Amino acid sequence: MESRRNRARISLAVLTIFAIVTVFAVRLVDIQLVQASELNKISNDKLAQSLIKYGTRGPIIDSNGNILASSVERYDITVSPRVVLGDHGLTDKVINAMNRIALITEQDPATLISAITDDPTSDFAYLTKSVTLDVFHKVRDLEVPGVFFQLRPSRTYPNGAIAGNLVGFIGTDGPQAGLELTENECLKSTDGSTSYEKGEDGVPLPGSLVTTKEPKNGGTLQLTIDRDLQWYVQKRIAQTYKALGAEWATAVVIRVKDGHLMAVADYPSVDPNNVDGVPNTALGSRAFSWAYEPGSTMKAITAATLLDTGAATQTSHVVAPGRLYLSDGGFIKDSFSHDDLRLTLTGALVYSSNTGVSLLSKKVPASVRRDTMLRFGLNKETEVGFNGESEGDVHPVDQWDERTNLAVQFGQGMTATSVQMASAYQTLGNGGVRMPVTLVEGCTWPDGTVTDRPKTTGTRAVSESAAKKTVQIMEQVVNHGWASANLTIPGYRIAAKSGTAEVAENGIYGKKTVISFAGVAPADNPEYAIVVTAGIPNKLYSSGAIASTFRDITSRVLTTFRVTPSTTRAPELPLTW
Amino acid sequence: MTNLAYAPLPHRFAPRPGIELVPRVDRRARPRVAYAVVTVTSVLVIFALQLLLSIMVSQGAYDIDTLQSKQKELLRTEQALGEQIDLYGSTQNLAASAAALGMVPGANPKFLDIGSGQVSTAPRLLDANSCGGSCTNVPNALLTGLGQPHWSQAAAEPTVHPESTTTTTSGTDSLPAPVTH
Repeated sequence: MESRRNRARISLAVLTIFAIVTVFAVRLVDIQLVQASELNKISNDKLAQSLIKYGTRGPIIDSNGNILASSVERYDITVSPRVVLGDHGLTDKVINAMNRIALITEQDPATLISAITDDPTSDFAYLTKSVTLDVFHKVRDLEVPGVFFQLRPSRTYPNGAIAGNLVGFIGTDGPQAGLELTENECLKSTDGSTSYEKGEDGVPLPGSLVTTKEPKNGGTLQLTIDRDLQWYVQKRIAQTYKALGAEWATAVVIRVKDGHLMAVADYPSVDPNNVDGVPNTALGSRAFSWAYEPGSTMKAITAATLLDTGAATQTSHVVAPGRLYLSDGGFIKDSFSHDDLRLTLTGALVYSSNTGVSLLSKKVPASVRRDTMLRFGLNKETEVGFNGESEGDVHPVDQWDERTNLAVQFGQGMTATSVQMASAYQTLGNGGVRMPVTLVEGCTWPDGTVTDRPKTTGTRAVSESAAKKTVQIMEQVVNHGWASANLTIPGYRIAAKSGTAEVAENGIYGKKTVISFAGVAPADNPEYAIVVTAGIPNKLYSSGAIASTFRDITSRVLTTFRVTPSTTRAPELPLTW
Repeated sequence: MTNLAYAPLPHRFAPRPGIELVPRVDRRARPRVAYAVVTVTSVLVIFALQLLLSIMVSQGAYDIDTLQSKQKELLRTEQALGEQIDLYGSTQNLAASAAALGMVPGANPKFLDIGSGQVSTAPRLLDANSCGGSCTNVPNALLTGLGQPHWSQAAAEPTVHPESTTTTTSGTDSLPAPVTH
């Protein structure tokens, strides 16, 4: 009897325990498996703190490693009006705190007060944006409750307007212009993210830090530009611009042996730190984007064409009339009135005779002349592919009328950019081989690999002898032309050609001009080609006005790159007969 | 025929196993106290160690946190200083500082004749635009508000004068290339 009751009691106990265990097991499965993800999320939301890990946008540097654009940290100061105002509202203490912040951030205290009183229940408002570390520290040290700080990755351009036309800038919506825009693939960074569980005091719990995505830094973009030369060239053309009352001015320095751009200057041009400081038309690079009728600087290309085809030699004779009449009764004339001049090809360039060059050009078929121009890089974008770059225009031969057929040979009726002209002169200096125009030396990624290496294969435009003879002809322009006094540089042989192009308005050529000088130095072994251009000057219309600009820039190029002085004399070529 | 003849012998012929008296086990005998003490102490020690370890790890977390924020702060400071160096090293700042010291850029290449010890160049204004590095044609908005170097206040006005020339050259006829002996 006794043992039976015991057995029943034991059975009951076992059953009860079993039931309880079952309940727990079911609950356990429910929590651990069925509701697991939901509960984890709720717990994470309460504990986990997620952070953006900012990648750093890559810097832009010049050929010597000087920083043209770099990424910096700036801080936004934010506020929680609800916390600041609390239960007591806008107390003297709050006003006092805002006054002290305003003193540091150099703001009007009223702005700060209105930021917190506009929506007193809000938890977020900006006090100020993009302050420096210094300001951030000072405001933080005030320890105002309810005032917070946010990191804002920003961009700075320590050299200001130097190469600002090329580097471009970054607006609130990302890259806006120049290389910042077109080389974004190299420069851009990718933000990562990380999360940790925080304790009550905000300290990350040990072992809870989880990086869900590593940030990726951008690559370093190296340009072919030389910062200090670029500065000088920009400064010099700015002076020219002001002296001439021009609407714009550009200058391009290109290395002859490989087509690398040493300086590409525009005026006016932007200081990327202060984009609002210039009109919208000055935000890019006119040297790349503005095609104009180059004028007589094209005569060097014509001379090379004539020499290359064998249609003329340096001393070929031509009788250049003051006016060359066309079948429609119109005429081509020279910049100065004269009777018939008995010129050589060399003389036609030295005196910049449109009529002489026109008559000589007639010996070469139009299609051959145009093809040669195309081989010099005209009528198509350069290899740089700059943002907004222009192709220029050399119309197909079947669109050339009688006047255009001749005028293109002295740079009217066709257009080219400053960089295209520089590339054409690079070709002349390089023995007739045109090298790809290069602005970017490469993009170095954080892991050390380099991409975007420049192309190194050139194409022949004219024969070596034609190119060399053309340079000799241009040397006569410097030594015997009317601008000689403003062109020579002691110690060096210089070859250059002037250009004074008339600007067509509504199809009619008026008083407006584009004046330029283009050349190579040293003439005996060309290392650099330089093109200087000023558009629509209102004081002096002739290219003579910028001969000294060309000389000063060339002189600076020769000294900057320590070019060996010439050791031989220039050849003397007859100009007349 | 039967194999009964080979059948084993019946059990009753097997020898009986010996039966012994087993000493009685005292069910109420108590386990020794020492065992309990050792067990409980071990558990306590383990708990204590775990607690200590946990405290150390937490302390480590705080240390790491402090050091990391210190590192972050230092990196920020380094970056801010680097930014200033870049700014002070900007061409505009250097040019303006040089101009403040009265320096003007030379325009022409100059040649030292080793034979005569004379320097030759062409006659020209050192700086035709007489602004030296002080022209603001190539602006840099970041430099406004940047402290000027301490010497700039005391510096003399830049002076521009024609360079004295020892050799006057014209373009073609004479190349004043150095003559070495």
